[in-house]
Amino acid sequence: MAVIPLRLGEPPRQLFAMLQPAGGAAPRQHGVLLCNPFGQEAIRAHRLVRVLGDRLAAAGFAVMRFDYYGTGDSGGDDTEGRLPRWIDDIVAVDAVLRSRSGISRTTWIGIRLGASLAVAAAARARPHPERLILWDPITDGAAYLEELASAHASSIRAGSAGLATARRHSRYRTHPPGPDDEALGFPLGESLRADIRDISARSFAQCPSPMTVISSADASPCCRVPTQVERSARVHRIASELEWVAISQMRSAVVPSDALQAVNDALGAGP
Amino acid sequence: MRETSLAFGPDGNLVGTVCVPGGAHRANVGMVLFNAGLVHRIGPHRINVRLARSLASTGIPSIRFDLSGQGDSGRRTGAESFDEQVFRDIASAMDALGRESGASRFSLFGFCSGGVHGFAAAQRDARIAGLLLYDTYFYPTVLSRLNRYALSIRDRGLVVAASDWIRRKLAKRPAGESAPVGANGTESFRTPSRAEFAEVVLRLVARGSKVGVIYSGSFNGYNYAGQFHDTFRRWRFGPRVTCDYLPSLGHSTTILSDQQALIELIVEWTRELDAFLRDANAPP
Repeated sequence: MAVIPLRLGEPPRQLFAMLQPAGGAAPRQHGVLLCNPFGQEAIRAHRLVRVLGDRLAAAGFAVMRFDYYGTGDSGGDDTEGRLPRWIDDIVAVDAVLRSRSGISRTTWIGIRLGASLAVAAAARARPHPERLILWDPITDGAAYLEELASAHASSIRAGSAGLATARRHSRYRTHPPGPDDEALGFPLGESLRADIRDISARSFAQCPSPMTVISSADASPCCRVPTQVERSARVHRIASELEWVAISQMRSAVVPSDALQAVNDALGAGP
Repeated sequence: MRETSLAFGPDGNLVGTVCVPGGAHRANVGMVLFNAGLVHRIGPHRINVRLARSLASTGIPSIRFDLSGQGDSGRRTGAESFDEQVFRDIASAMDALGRESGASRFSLFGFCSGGVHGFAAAQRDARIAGLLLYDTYFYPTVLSRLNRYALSIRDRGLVVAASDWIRRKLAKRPAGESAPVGANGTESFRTPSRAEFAEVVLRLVARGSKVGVIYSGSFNGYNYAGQFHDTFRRWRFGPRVTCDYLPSLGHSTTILSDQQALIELIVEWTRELDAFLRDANAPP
């Protein structure tokens, strides 16, 4: 499967992106843009995003996946992450996908925070994306911050549980357990926290593009699908339980087949 | 600093990002960074990206890349073994970094199980002048065992610790049975014996390479500063072999200050290697 690594824009603000040209016997005039979740979740989801990209490219879609500014392999420091900038990134990378692939129709797939960003970016893109596929979108930013805080505190406790020395014990006892400024290995400064806190279901109701929501079993409270979203979106519930921020799962990849099938169904990408 | 993302290798299947310092300074060594377990080339918590940029700020270029079939890299088309494929991938990464930066000698950083790939590659490719292993191989000593029992008793109490110890002894492999190979059935995931490890290290040092090991505080298997020295005392490694024990560092470097401490240590180690190679290459 051909892949084309790209660095978009000018240094030092370049974005890393990976273009997968449409493959298969019958290329479609349709592109798919994949929008990552945040921080440790993006690392855990990397395999999923790649597998999704491979399958969609093989089914004839031009696929673009990328890292927001200050994340992954893109330019910028981790402390520079802000949601408005990441929303701009989605719009800009979508334009590159369209121009490089010679297509006008795109569907965006967003995971967790990436889904919320995709909803906010859809109103800004011209033309709007044809459809948004939102996998466990964050619909309550304050609840998401609480989830991150809880997971981070658990990770600190887990780090102090299997220790080797008394010094390590004291180190972890004295380190603040809450994510005052970090979450599961990534900076989470006040500005970014304020951006996230503002996320609510209101923006979903104003989204100009049709939405399909993929909702995992036992999705956390921050991903609850509110009534107003249920009214305006197709909601596809899957059986897989995905603990996106579970510390016990930090080193594992996640590629649930029912979610991939739900994406295929939403795109009409089946054989 | 300039970063270039590229596809490379004989099959064009490997994906990586080269990070080259700005300015005219020509480094004597380039750093090669790759996967840690399932994590793609950016490393746990993006540590490889920050490490690459820190190295570039001191004039040292690097490549961070995904091994075949991992991260963004595709599978190789050949029928070679996994170990052979990893070796060829690392060699291809050194070729790519050499083309982009002019470096002709290289250092490998292996994070956790990634170290086994570095250990194997360094034995086969003389361009590798530096090998840095983080929490890769553990060799107990009498003192580390005593420490371990003491820690176990302190943390869990005498009764639980003793019953665990008895259970482990009953489950122990019969004497003489070799350690199992890795979960994927490859030879390279086997922990080399002390003598094997020492022999390799001495060969690398004899050809002018530098070897470093770093241990975090997360594992009971390494629990005091002099453990590496005590283990390999009779082989007299000398100053070209270093060991750093960071007892306050968590293995996964989840805390940001842990990440910074590890990055600073690796940058300093690599700068010393760069200076050594510069002096070694200087005209008399």
